[in-house]
Amino acid sequence: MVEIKDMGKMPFNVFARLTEGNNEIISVHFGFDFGGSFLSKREHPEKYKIMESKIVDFASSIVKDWINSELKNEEKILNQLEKDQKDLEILVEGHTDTDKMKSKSHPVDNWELSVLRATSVVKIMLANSKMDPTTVSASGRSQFAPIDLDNKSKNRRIEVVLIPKLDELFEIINN
Amino acid sequence: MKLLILISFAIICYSSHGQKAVVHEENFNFSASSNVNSLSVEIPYAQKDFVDSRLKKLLKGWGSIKRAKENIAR
Repeated sequence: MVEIKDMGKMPFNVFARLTEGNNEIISVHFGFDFGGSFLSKREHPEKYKIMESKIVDFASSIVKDWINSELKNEEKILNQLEKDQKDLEILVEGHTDTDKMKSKSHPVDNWELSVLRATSVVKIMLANSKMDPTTVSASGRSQFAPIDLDNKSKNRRIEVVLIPKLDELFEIINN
Repeated sequence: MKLLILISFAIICYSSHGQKAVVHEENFNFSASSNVNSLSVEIPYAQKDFVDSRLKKLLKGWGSIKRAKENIAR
């Protein structure tokens, strides 16, 4: 039995279970038992709102931490490459799936979402490494460069592209 | 100089500037209670062990944990 702040003084049981679905998606299921009656939006609208918010925060924090841990792994590679390849520029590309944005505020569409996704990653990369920001750029390609037409989740992604500095290349060619 | 390295990794940014986590209701079978209303959320790509450890931490913050088969019940 637990008592959660904002949920009243009546203790209740919590059940939780993970399931793995297709497309590498993990679902987390919570059941909140108020003595035979399980939490539902219709019967407990106020309590539902509170727990919904807690679950959204929980899911968001997992994704954020997971991204950070993945980026740290990538940074090790990037930092090594940066040492080895001083003549590279780093392009961070954001991609989305085909779902339409329904927001009236930014991002209003997948173009904005993909760019914001890329700039978010650039900020995390720069904050967690000694990378030279003059070699980094962010761009967005919206939904138009999918890698898997049958799996939308795979298309919501970031690609980090290491590109040789072309001006130096042209200089070598010209000389 | 023709080196072009592509490092691709999938990222789901639904906290900032991305899809927001969506909680939905569905009937679910917990081992202790079957076909009951649950609040479910999808977490794409993150590893199961990673999510499991975070879930335990969340539940621990709410109180003590009792394991019931695959369920984490409290």
